[in-house]
Amino acid sequence: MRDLFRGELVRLTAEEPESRAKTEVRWQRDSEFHRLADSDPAMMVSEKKLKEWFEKQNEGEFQSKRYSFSARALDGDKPIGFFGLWVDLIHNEAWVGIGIGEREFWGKGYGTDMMKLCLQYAFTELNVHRVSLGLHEYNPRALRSYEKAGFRLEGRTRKDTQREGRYTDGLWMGILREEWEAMQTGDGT
Amino acid sequence: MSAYVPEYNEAALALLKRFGFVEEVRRRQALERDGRRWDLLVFGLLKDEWQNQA
Repeated sequence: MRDLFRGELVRLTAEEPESRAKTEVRWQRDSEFHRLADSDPAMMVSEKKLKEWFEKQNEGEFQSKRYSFSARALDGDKPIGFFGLWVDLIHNEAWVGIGIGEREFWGKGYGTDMMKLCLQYAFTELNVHRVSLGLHEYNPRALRSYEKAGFRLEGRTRKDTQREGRYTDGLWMGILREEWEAMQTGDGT
Repeated sequence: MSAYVPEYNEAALALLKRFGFVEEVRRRQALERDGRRWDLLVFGLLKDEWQNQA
């Protein structure tokens, strides 16, 4: 059986709220990171607040059908990012949130490796029928990475986010179980 | 404005199209109903599109 928690470039971890806060407070200071991550107004939070937030998140993890992981680069063991899966049990679907906070690990395949672990977890542990995600059109690096992991673009919600006085589109992607399974045959990549 | 409609709701699809909504996203097999999977469609109507209709 394949290792659920280890990819080719990263391994998944469960970090203590304290160390997570120490690492991720730096990512929160990077405004581009915020803008690539979501549509919420970019907010800076203190390390203490961040730690409390992670503690609260840990407590609610299983009630909210949310499954989240941190990721470390295999080379050097540095914490570089995270992903979370939110499961809709009614329609058997999971939504992904994923991010790499350390800029020197952008554009080098780490995100794609994390996403492969994420999909493996969604389809073999959570047993969902499909996995979904959304991204901003101005994040082509993410789009390419998600396509490499097997996601298909399913459409765009036109002008749904305002950035610097202009409207931009939201992109929506999905991958079905059968599509993921078809990718698993052969060498397992 | 956005609207979410299951693919089997033909009446709603016709209504949205009549009001100028555009199909923007087809979330394939996102719904499970009556033992099978259905697409969920996302429609959008922009303010200028709506104004140009009037």
